[in-house]
Amino acid sequence: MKQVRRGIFAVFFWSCALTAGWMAGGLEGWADPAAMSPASPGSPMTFPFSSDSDMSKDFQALAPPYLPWGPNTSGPFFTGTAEVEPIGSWYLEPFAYDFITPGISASSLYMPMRLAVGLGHNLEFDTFLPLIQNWQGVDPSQGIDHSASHFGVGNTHFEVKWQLTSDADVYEPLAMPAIALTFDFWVPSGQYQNLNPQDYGTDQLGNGTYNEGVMLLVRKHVKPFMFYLQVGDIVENPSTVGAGYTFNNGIEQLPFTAGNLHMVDGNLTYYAGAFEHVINTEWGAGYLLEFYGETQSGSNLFFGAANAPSWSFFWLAPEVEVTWPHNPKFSATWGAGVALPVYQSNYPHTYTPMGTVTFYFNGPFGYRGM
Amino acid sequence: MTLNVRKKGICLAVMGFLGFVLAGCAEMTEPDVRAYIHEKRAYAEIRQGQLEKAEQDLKMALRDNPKEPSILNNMAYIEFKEGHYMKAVGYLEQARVLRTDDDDEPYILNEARILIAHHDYHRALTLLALIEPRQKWPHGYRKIMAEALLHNGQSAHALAILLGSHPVTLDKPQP
Repeated sequence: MKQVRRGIFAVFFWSCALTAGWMAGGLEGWADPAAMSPASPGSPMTFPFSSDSDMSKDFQALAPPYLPWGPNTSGPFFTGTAEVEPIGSWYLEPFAYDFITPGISASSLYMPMRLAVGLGHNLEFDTFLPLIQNWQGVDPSQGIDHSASHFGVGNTHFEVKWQLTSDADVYEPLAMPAIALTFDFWVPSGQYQNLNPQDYGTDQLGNGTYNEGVMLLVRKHVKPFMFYLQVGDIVENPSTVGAGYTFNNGIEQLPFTAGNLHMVDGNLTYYAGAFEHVINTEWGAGYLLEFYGETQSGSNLFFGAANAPSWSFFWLAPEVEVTWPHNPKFSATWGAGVALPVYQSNYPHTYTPMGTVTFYFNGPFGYRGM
Repeated sequence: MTLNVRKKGICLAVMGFLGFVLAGCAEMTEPDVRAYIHEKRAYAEIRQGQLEKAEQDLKMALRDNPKEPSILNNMAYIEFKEGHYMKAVGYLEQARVLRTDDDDEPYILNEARILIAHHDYHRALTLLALIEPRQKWPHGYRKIMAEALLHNGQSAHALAILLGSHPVTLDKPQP
């Protein structure tokens, strides 16, 4: 009983002491330090904020405002761009590559029409539907002058591009570049069977294989330059080819007397890169120096030893570009160049004048890489 | 003869190409770009607490772009941290003058903060009053405005600011 009374007394005593303390000195002991009055320095003002000096801790250093640079240019011919079209944007890009091979008096005007659509989620879908005009000046089997030409549709190419990173800083050479992966599929929509001997091979518009490829694309801006790189591997599925078929090096041909052949192409490595200098950002005007090569080995990654010939080549291509007109909703980029042979093994000495125009229909998020 | 002409042609082409590339390299060092690179470096140094290095970089950035308010703001930040109150206010005044639209709000708030820290309440209130009529208030404005009002003896106005339902803009993310 005595202990209970002592407890009640202790609680009462401390309650009184705290109340008295509060009345005498405010609530400093329980709150943030009070601000000091300017009128009478030293006397505290009581309000529920932090002290004046604490307020200065909220002083914010500011990040530099983004200084954009990413002109819409035509870009290289053989190297892809690592950025995807934003959702709501798309473009149509007819190309023309005239593969001229003086040694065998042949040319092939290859005109793929590219349609690229931004899907969102860092994805883009592309289709390439090529039209081809082949011309042959000699009978390749006899070396006698004969003229033949043929026009038609080549192999259709589909691509899904997945952008992994964006260019972290368009002024810093060592900042993270834009990186993308593409997954490519080819359908043998171009004629490769039932070839007419009188056409001297011009009626062959495809190599007859379904292909799958994976490519790695990199692009880095360092104003006013851009650097591009593309490397990839293409697996060509086996296919049955017949009389008069020309292999994909463009040199070796099955005789017209031959029967069907179960053809296995070797593994195809694709590599290309480009250096671009944008001289005028507003007009997207500049020049490029591009390299491009392909190598087909003697064995297929999935289907064993190849019976199609192995070959390789390496080309260099100077190119020029300009953008006109250019407005937020629509722009057109123009490019031209010529690919020159530097090295070839079991591949013809080919010169390739090239031209392209791209019609961009920009959605609310603009064009790729802006 | 033909060989000589070809050699000359190749030489000219190579020299022309090098000329273009060198011109491009010169463009890489144009003042706006240099300022941006120094400012970016300085911002990273500020975040790491390396204020002396940051100050050097910001001075170089200012030399190339004396009209960028964020450079001036960050100079003010360093001066303030080094105890140079008047210099800090001076930089922020310049930054504010260069931004006449709503983008001046970070500079107004920062200047008001250091004015209040130095008990210059009247000037802080005058500055903060510029934001009050605007449609949206920046994040943190209510608190600092109420504090300035209380220090100026306008407690009823301070209460109205705190309890009002004025829309607030979201903070812009800082990289």
